[in-house]
Amino acid sequence: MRFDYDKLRPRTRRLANGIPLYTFPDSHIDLVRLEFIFEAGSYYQQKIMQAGASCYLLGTGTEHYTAQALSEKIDYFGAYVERYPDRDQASIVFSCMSRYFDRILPLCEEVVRHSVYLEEELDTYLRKEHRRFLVNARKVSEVSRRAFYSTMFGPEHPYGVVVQEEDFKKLEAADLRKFYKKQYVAENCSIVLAGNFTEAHCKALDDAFGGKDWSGERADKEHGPQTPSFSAGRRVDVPMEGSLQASVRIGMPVCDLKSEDFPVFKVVDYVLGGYFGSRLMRNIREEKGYTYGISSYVIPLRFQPVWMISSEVKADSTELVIAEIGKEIDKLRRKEISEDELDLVRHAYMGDFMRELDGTFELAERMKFFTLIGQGPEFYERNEDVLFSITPEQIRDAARRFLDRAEFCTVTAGASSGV
Amino acid sequence: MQIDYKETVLDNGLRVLVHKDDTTSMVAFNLIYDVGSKDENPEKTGFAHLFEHLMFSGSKHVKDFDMELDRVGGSNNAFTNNDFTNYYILIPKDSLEVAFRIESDRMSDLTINQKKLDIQKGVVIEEFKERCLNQPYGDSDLLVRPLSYKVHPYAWSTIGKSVEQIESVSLKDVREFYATYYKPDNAILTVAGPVEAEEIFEMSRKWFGHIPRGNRPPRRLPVEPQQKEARRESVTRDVPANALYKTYHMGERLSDDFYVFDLVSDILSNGESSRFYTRLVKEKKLFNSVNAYVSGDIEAGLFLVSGFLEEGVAFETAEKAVDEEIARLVQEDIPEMELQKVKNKVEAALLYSNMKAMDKAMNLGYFALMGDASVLNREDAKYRAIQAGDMQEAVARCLRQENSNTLYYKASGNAGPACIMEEEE
Repeated sequence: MRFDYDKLRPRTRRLANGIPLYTFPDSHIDLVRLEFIFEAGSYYQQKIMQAGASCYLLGTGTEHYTAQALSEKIDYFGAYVERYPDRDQASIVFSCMSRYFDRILPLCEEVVRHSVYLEEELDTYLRKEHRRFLVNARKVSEVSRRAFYSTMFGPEHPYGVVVQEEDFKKLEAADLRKFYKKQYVAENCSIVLAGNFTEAHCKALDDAFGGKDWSGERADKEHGPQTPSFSAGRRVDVPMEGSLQASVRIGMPVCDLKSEDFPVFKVVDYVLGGYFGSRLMRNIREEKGYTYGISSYVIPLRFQPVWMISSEVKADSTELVIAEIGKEIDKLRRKEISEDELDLVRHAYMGDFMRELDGTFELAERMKFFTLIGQGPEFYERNEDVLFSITPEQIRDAARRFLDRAEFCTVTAGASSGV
Repeated sequence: MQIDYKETVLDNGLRVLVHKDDTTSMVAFNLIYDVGSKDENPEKTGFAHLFEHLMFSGSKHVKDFDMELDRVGGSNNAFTNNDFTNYYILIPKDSLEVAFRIESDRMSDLTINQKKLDIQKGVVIEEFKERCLNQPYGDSDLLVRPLSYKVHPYAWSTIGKSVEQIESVSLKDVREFYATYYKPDNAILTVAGPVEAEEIFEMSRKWFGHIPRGNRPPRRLPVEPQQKEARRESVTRDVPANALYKTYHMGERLSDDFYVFDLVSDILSNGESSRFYTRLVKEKKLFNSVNAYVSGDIEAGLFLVSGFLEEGVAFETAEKAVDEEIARLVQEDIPEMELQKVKNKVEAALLYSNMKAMDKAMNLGYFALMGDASVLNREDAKYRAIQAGDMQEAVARCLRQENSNTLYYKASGNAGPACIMEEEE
């Protein structure tokens, strides 16, 4: 069971101004998915929420349309617009039926290139975000997420910064216009087109986005990595009175995704908590019933990826769960995995991978990750090669090398007192 | 959109549907059992879902389903709702027979013991907390259902009425339930992927043909009497803001009501150009967010409105604004453009929801369960045929105060965050 990596390789061309256009044609579906990826994540912002708001408010008022008029048009053609601001990148996805793609394309140009950012739209956005902020303060998983990143990177680092109540009063539309002008430029843009489209559509994309009139500075050239103040071995417990469950997060910084170490680390991660039948799931859910789910995973932040175990657990079992996680890690460091389990892990990994990438839009969605790490399908090929050649001894050694509990940052929110 | 399929019924009553899809190398295997939380004893709610968890405990010849499937690159999962329980497997074509072997053994020889039951009770109770009890507004469904239904079993959520009821389940309950409902004549198998109908029918006979029919009692659910007067309820919770929930009784999933009210809900709240969003959120600033939707239950269901109020807005003001938007649907013409808009949105949504083999397998099974899989292929036409007048008639008939249930979900007034972030070692 091997994956056909050619499916993940787009046809690549460049618009006149150099923007890469990655295409995944599929004539079996009557839909089109058009994604614009920008180097415009919160990593590059000067003010808290500047990046998120700039992305969410794309198209809520443009040079030629009011927010209302534009959304009427987009909705009329049955199209959907999704906005995904994140830490390194921000993207906007337009999905529509193929027969209306001609009509939607000019609207995409309005949204992406001619947004104006009005105070009243920012006000609506901030009302919503502030509410989300207050609701999240009552969710154990969100409270622990905030505490985890802030503890891990330090509150001054762009990945560690957390929104505070007063930040909602500080953001102005002018901040968004500034960020938009600087980040949403051709040099920071990649385009991914998938589904049922024609050559004429690619030409139209070139006409709309291939000009030299929206040129700027490539983001990651200007801002390199910033030194985080990691606090190895820290433990933070956030009390939340009366909570029935506690959220537990245990993690650490992890090696670069392109490094030779990464595929080896990935195997260790997968065995421990990367799939439904993982050791953590078997122990903490299926044998003890302390949780509905527990998993480990890598968060691919460009300048410093993070590895994390997270779970929501019975509040009064928090310490037991943390102890069991420790035991599972010690076991990986102490004992070689059986050939039988390794065989299971290999197949489970490939199965997960093949299912996740089953479909043209799913393949196209991966381009965002590739542009983030600066590598293509060879990233997955390497992971697969290592997975199928690694020995139980090498996995144990890798666990010893990578999973040093003294390095972990541990955060809980909502644990019963007595912690 | 046209999803072709072939259908047969085995001698023991198992219905099998096959859709050929050559665009994928994976096969979707979907098995629906015609039993949901509406079939539960009112004193033991949450049982159908707990049972679904136990279905992953292993069977006589398959110790561990997940492991068997992982070994061949497959995966399996399940969900339960008020109407039915759905088990699904996605598996590479070459290993398809593994799915048949596992599901066949699970239907005929499930292993259950007290220890497994106790562990899964723990897991389900944690799920209950994670989804409902330990989330802001997470218990709203637990409140809205019994307010809306007085006799019909839609009065309780699939997760159950309470943790205590889940705890009260015995091994005997589990065995009886299995013996009653997990039978071939109470199930529908749908397979979609690069397969031929005849090979699937043959495999079905091989793996399921020997399992004897069951003897489930006919479903006799109490009929919800016509609601005669508006019901209201208030609760106070430790949440940051007030929320309003309103429900109205409407027709069943296959009735015209469903399609009409689905479009009505889209006019009100689907997209940034929708009426609720532009007027109640952006213009009048009464709500932080507000949505309208249909419950989509198989039997007579609900039209629902739920909204989170802006600070300082009175419940009465917010509710009045919702009522006015509903009244406008009847009092004013619905512009043709707006009707076209929601129909186009529905068409796109139908295309999205039937893109993958698994979507198609599940949807075919769902419509087969309701009586006729081919209805799936007529959904778009049903929406397209709706006229503004149909919507106005339905709104006038159902979205009336006497047919409504309103929940004021009040914030306790403790406006600050529940936790103060202080990082201590």
